[in-house]
Amino acid sequence: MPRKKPRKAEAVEFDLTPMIDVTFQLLIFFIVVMKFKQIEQTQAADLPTDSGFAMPTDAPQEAIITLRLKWQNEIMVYDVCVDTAASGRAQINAGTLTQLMQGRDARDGYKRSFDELVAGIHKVYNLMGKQAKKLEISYNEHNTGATSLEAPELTAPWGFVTLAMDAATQVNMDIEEQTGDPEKKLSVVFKYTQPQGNVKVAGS
Amino acid sequence: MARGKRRKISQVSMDLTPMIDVVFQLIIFFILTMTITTLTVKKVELPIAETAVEEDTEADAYMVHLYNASAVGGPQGGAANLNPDGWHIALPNQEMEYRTVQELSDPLTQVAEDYNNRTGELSELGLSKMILLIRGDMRCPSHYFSVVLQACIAAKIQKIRVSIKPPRNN
Repeated sequence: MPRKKPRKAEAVEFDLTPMIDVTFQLLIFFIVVMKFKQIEQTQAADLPTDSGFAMPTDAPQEAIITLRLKWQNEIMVYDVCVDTAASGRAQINAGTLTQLMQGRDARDGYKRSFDELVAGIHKVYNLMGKQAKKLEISYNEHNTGATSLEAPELTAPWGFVTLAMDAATQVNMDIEEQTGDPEKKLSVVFKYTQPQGNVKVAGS
Repeated sequence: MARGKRRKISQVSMDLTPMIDVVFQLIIFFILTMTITTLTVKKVELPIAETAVEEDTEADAYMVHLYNASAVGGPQGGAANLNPDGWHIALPNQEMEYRTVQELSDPLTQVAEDYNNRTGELSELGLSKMILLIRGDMRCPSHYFSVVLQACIAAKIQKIRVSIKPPRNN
């Protein structure tokens, strides 16, 4: 009987080139479709739990600090005051929207206006003997896009309203830290004057 | 003269194994960090705020945009565009541009009712527990914020959040 030849083990080779090609295709796909998400945070602006709007005279005038947003000639001036003449007022010039947004770092222009506005609200709050109960953020609601001759105070850009909300939040944080009593915080409302002259108030 | 020796050209081979390893590392990184989302978020220049908190409201919040498709983004185009014709309120998956309380009240009321029916939750005062998230461009006339507030009151939506970006650190 003829003897069987022992089989020689054959080396098997893989060609990895197609695998590398597919891998690079995947990599390029992921790099091209990837988009970085902008960091976002939120501020609460809850509405009151009672129904509808409140009349502007809902609370005694002595207990309300009014923060008026005066937007004229594309410059924002915050006017912090109390309607009773006895208490003082503070005016903060926040400049133009471009100044708020620009700078080497957007924080520069924003931080200055924010700090001044917080200091102004605290000043009026202290002049009222720390008895204020409510902070009204008041702005005009002109929506006609009319020229400055017809509507000298146009409605302010949204960025300045959020700055006012931000300052109000900081003031409330400071009050809670100083007094240790959350009930002492100011309730923030939005008061806006419509073109017809109606005044409406809404807010938490 | 002795004939010069011919130099034998030696072959150079590269080991590509480390490169393949790095490429696989990159692919695994991208696969793990990737999140597939539909584009419901419009590009707006968000306002800045110092005191905002990071709340996970996006998952179930109803997003409303104060938006202008032709507004140029970034500080270079930062001048306020107060022409109201360009600005409008945009709702998710809707092409219509809302500008008045009358136009906005009905769709918001419908959305709030759908949310209430789906979750079966209402507050003690009969208000919806739906969260409405306002993503407003900082250049938008704040008149449109008033429109959204009034429409929310009509739709009995009480919880409102405003989207901002934190200031960049120095």
